[in-house]
Amino acid sequence: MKKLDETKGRLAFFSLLLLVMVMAFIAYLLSGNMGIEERFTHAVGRENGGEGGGGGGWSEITLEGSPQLYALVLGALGAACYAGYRHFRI
Amino acid sequence: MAHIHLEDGSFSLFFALVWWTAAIVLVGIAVWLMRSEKKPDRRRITLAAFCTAAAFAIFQVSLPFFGGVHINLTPLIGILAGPAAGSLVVLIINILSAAIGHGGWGLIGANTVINIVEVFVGFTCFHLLKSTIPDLFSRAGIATLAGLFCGNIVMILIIIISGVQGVNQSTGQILTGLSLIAAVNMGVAVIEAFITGLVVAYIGKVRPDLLGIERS
Repeated sequence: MKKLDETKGRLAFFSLLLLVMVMAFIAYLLSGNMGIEERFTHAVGRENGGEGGGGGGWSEITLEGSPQLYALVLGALGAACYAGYRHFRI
Repeated sequence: MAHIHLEDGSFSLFFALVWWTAAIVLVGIAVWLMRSEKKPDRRRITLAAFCTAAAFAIFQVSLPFFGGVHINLTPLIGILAGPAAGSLVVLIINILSAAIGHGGWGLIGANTVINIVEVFVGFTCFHLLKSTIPDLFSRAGIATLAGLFCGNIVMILIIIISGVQGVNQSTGQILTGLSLIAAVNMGVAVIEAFITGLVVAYIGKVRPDLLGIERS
């Protein structure tokens, strides 16, 4: 009975995998060989983009990969964790 | 794997804040649920910590399939750490990933919402299919595919609702492009389903108590 259940489960899983693989391969052929960031910027029509591409639209400042912001965010996160720890006595 | 790989400024400030708020509300509910437990489950917290480290590392590894992709392990996080702790895990992973330039700061909220959906659906499917598919490998694999499929749907919805600044494409064109991305992502989900299935089957063999299964 256990063996039958295992076979049933594997059959369902591998059928799903096959279906998904076929769909993914067709989509890959239609969209072409691209990296994930390139695939995104192409899909939404942002030709100059990509992560860290410096295409920020809010205030023309590059937010990503900035060491100052990294330190700022980590500092803020650390402070929030400390405040949460003190307040809630986790 | 569903993750919005766009730079800051792709969403308007309003929508960046909307998704940040949604993520904070979801994580707030998760924290409230964890705190309302009478006895804190230290084992689950330890597992969540391990999941954070492993998933953050694997997040940064580009696999040479379909032009270069990465996996998330979010359904595995859901299965091992549960949806409440898993929500905190994905928030931390997204913040640290943005800090090293993987995903924009303004998109952390949107990406966290997507990943929370993956964690929740992965966890729910894994437990709902318990009686139908007792085999751990297949059940974890199917739960992973379901979680990542839902994550991709939510990713498309978030981008369509928010709109992308500075583009001339119609909603239909963006939807077509994003559908192709989702389909390619599901190809990567196959690899993730295999990994999750193997990890869960192995844990089920050596430490079934971590999955809430009693040793026979």
